[in-house]
Amino acid sequence: MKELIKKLVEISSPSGREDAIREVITQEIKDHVDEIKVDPLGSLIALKKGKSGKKLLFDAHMDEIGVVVTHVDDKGFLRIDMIGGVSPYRLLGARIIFETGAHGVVGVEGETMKQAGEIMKSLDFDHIYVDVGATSREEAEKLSPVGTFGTYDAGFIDLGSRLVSKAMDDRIACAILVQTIKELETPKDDVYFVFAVQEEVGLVGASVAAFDIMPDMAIAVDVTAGPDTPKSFKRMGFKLGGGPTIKIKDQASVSSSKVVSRLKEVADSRSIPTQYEVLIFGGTDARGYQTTGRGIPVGTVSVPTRYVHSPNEMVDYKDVLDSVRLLKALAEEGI
Amino acid sequence: MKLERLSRLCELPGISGFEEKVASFIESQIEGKVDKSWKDSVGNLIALKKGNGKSQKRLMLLAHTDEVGLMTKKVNEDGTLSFTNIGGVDPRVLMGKKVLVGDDLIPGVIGFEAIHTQERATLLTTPKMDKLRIYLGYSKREEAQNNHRLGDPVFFSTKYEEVGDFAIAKAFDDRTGCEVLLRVLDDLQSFSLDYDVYFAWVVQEEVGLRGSGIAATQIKPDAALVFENTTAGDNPELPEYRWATSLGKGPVLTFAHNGLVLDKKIFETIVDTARTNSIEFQYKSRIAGGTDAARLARTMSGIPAGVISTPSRYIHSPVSIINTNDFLGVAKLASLLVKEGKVLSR
Amino acid sequence: MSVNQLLMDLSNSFGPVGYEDEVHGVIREAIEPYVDDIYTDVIGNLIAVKRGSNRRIGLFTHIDEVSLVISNIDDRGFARFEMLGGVDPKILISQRVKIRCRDGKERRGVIGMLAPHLQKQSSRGDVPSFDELFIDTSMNPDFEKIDIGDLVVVDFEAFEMNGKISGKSLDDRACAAISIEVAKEMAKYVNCPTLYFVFTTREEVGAMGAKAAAEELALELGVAMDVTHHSKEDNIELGKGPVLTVGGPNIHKEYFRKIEDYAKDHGHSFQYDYGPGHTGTDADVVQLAGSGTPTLLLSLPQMFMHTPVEVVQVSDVVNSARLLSGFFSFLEEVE
Repeated sequence: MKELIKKLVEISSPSGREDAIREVITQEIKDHVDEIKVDPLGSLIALKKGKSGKKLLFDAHMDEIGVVVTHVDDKGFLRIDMIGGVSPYRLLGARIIFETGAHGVVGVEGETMKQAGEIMKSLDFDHIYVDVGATSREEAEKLSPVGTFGTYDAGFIDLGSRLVSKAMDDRIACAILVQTIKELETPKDDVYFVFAVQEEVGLVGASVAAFDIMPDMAIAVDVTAGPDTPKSFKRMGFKLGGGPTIKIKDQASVSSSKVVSRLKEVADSRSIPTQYEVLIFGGTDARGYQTTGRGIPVGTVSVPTRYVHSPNEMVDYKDVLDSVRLLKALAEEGI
Repeated sequence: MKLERLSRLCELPGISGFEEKVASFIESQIEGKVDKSWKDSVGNLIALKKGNGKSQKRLMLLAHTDEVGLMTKKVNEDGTLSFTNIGGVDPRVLMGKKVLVGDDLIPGVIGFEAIHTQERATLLTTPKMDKLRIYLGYSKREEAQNNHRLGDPVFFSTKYEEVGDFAIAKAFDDRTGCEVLLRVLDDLQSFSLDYDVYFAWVVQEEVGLRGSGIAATQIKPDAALVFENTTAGDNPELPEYRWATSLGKGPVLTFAHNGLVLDKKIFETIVDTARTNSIEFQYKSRIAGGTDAARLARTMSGIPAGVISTPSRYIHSPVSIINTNDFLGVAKLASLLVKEGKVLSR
Repeated sequence: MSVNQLLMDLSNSFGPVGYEDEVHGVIREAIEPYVDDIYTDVIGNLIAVKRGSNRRIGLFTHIDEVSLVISNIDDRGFARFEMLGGVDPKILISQRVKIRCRDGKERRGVIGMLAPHLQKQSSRGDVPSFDELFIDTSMNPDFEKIDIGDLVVVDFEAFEMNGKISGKSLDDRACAAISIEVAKEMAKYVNCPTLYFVFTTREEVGAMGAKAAAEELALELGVAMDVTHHSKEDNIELGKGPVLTVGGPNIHKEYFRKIEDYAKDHGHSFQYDYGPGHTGTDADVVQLAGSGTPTLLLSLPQMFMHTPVEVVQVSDVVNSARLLSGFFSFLEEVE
């Protein structure tokens, strides 16, 4: 499955510009599903039919965080703003690839030592800039004019049992869904696979993707923190290699108790390792589905991930494989 | 005066939750020009201009009728009123202003303690809103209570004025949008379309984009164009790359704002149309603020939208400024987009 | 059952956000004789229906309580936790708690704090944050059975004092009691609308429950009921009757005028509150459901909100129910 993961994470598709990743996912799954369509906001929705009459929905978001060019100055330097939760600190020293193909490097202002120090204490987008190697406004505008979107430029590294790349959030879940589609032969219920747009700017795609479907259960697949590194959050207790997590709550939603217990039941019956997750911050597409129409019972299955929203997110390969096993198990056993 | 109808719109009192007078005025302006119009349970005014039936598609044009303002929350012992804000209002814009209170628009002032008696050390401290008071000339509670209660809306009292290429008034956000819709409707009196156009003057945008989703649910459009008013930071205190937009550079086209990246195809159609017709335009260059487009994207199955704004300085204060040519550029671009209908073919 | 007893039973029952089943039991028993139908919807709201005319009115009260959930636990039995709903850390210190575990057993805990003479000099006098608080569960002989996701409530039993009730979760179960009393009172009237008594889930984390119910029910009028702060300064006091919120964007003006006039004409004493934007109650989302629902907000004065010792006055509960039931019947008579 590593080839598939590498293919998906290396595509540059920030929120609002998901065409590229959607095309690739479509090619991967189209011969393995009964129906496939794109909704008005651009989310990709596929269906594998079952027999029970009930509907199960799995969600992964296709977009990654990124930046957009907001200004080009006389000397060819760019100003940017964030698309989704990008910390300016993470951008320092990072490379950016723009949708035009241009590459950029991030720099920071500071006219004196004192000012440079103060800027670093509370860094914001107003004090950083991007250098695309241009020497004039005209040159820069050819490479990356105002309104051009971009993402981290950081490829996939296979460390054996651990994998590193940009955009594990949430392409690892996209890969999990694609792999589940390929391996799932006999779903009990109708299983919808939603590859949603614009999660990172506000769970947009997931707020409406299920409006016409109204499934009986919706499960978002996303990354979660990896609080098992030196002196990481003492209030959280799950870890890499402990298996996919069954989320109890985060800042955006409280999972349905029925979904939580069903996931645990199915996992235990097939000896799939899982851990419970209480996330102190953050949210997933689950909230979008929970608040659709007259309500949908929701849950989230997460892949523990270190260094989320940095160019180098790390997951455990076995957690990923076990996530596929878990989704497949639920699809086969039914809601 | 160049923009007479806009001047009347700006002077009408219409705070979030109290938009009736604005909606009624607009209703009077659209009489005989539309095939159908109605008001819904929250006060949205919706009108339909039918096409010739060749296309089943529907385009929704949207502007919000509400402005920010204040609401009284208490009649004090001494006859003054305490208040809070409806929508985003910084307390710093309130002191030394005349206001109009309640449906009867009774005039009052928001004063402040004289400078001689204030502490030097706290002189530059922003006062908290609940320390400010509205004074209407009563000396005790009983007098005030005959004319006021808690929950009365409080409006800014600014009169509209044109000066050269600029105009000064309250509530350009979003009466400029409302006026754009009226102008498009006027244009369509002599132009036939294949598809249906719905005009939605929605309420309560300023308190959380509350009216637009309900309106869209009744209309069920295939796409929407939102006409807003956006902040121009082009003043000497901010470096150029923080201005977001500036006056005199034409209509503002937005590719992303809080909570949404706008539909790429619609955005590109708007840009192309402006370029082809030599309408000078600018991009909104900060991902900040929000519009009803964010609500529309989260309604039903999701409604793709474009956002076109008139830039304005000092929005959400009693005195904001626009360049009238920017506004006319928005109106012109709006008409072209509606007549050509390309935003519907995505 | 007396109103006092009902309030105490509701207060004492276990119902953290998303896990309100036990409270459902208490409500069902109390309301069953007065309604035609009771069911739970897909997202977990409990809905009781009293059939009447074609006019459909919904009463929304939330029954989830603010509580805690275990987020990490070490091998000595010291557990970290996260809140479910907004809790002031100050009121948690030195509380006894009940932990509801997955094996069905209830175990004990104490919320401790690092002793003052052991704290760093710089942080003495600061209230510890959630990151510094912990639950000591080491007293349980089988504390290793406690896991991430186990639910925790403060161990406090409701009691009466001078016509008032003090207990946990009267926000908003005291208003649920009003709902139940309305169902009882309606039996006196000949002209009744169709009433939906909606006991919602998840209000404390964003009112998801009410949103789902309102979308499904398509009501003519939605009346939300929640508690509000007793404050002499704001002219809202215990014992002076129900509080009607003047809108404001969130309140339907015409219905407000009707209930205000009705209350005045029929000698009901009541108080006023103001609502400049959204109200922070189920009313926010009910108004926005579907094509829009006219909403009213009726509040119950309460002291010490979100602590274990919340206080309401029983006569306010009774008078609120009388006002609403009279108003609903009045609507039927005149229109």
